[in-house]
Amino acid sequence: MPSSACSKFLIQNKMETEKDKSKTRRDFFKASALVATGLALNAVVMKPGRAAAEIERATAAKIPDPDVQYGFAIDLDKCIGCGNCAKACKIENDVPQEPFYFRTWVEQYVVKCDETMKIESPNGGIDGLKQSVSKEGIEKSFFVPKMCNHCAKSPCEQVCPVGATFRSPDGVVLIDKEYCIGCGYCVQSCPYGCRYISPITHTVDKCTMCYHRLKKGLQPACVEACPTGARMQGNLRDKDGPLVKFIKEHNCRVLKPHLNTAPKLFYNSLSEKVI
Amino acid sequence: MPQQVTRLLIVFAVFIGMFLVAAAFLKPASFGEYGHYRGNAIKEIAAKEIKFVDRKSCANCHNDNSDALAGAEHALINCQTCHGPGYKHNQWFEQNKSRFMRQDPASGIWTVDTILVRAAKDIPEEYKLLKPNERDACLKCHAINAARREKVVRQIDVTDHYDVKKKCVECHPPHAPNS
Repeated sequence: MPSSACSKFLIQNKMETEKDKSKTRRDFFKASALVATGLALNAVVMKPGRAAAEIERATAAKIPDPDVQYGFAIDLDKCIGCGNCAKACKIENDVPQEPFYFRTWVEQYVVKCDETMKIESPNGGIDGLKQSVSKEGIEKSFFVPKMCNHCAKSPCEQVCPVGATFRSPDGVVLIDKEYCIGCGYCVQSCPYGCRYISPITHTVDKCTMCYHRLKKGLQPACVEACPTGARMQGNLRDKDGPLVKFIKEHNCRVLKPHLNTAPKLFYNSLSEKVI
Repeated sequence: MPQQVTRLLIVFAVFIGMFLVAAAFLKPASFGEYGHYRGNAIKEIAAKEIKFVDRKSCANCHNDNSDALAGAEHALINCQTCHGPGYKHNQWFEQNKSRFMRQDPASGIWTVDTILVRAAKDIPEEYKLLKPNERDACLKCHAINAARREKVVRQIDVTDHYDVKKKCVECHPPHAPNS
């Protein structure tokens, strides 16, 4: 008797477990169907509403303009390392104030007499860069402002798994914040270190060449803020324009040309120590 | 055709159909407008508000300072480089513009009276611009540094320059420092 009661109990128990199992599976399918419907509905309902007025207003200007190809040039001879560019950029683009989030920053290079180098950028140069090596020990010293190179063959665009980074028809590398999942692949792939994950939106952020200013007929904030006119922004297709003229007349180089990223940021008097 | 192949084809057709239906619903309207991305993303980025205003707008009211600046060493420097972004300051002016209008008796045309604007003392703190007069503000550009080119910017070693307790602006008026 005890053995048969035991087996009966076991069978009953087994049946219950199976019942539980099938219940979970059915629940899973039900939940999946609900989620799928929800997603589809969300896409249908949410599509038209978002910032429609803003988009409409922006459409008035030619956005994007496939006839232009925006480029940038920095005259390193004129850079005095005051950091006003980095400061203006942070204000204009709501970049977090912490000293490790930058869309543009200024580096101070010191080549010492013993052929060692000291490269520093405390707070991105926002507080003005100070000479930290005594005059006697310096062979040469210079500043290098850095920002997104808006590469024509950008690695960041290539590695993005969701297609959130793209090149606009006017040649600016931009990020669709709604698509970005914040995985950080692009942050690693950028050879120029120009990207960061925003602590506010948890999506990636970087220089847009102040696209919103360009489309309102203004210069980027860093260009406006530069007291010496070291920064220049313009149209690379305009062969008689000031930017093309500057690149033609000066010994301009790009950063890391061997990586074949085709940067659109040109430096005058760029030392080989930087490349 | 063997039965299993027919079934496989049906399954494939169903999956592709489902994918197409889902894609039609989930794909944003502007996707593919310019490339393999959401076209409206460009327009959203372009629609962002500016903070550093057009440099010409400063001179509309502060023509005394822009006159002092013209021809001086600091002539090419944007006002907002030292005074900070002007968008809020401009907002306050636009809100209070009616107070500063004056009619020209001869022609009857209404214009902004710049003297009246500059005399206004009730501008709230958050709309005010910066007025940096500490030494550090000047030394961001003018401190001696081997990386700065002398022909681009005049530099000073403040440790042995005149009276170290005095502010630079007491002797060098910032808008026309060489006057």
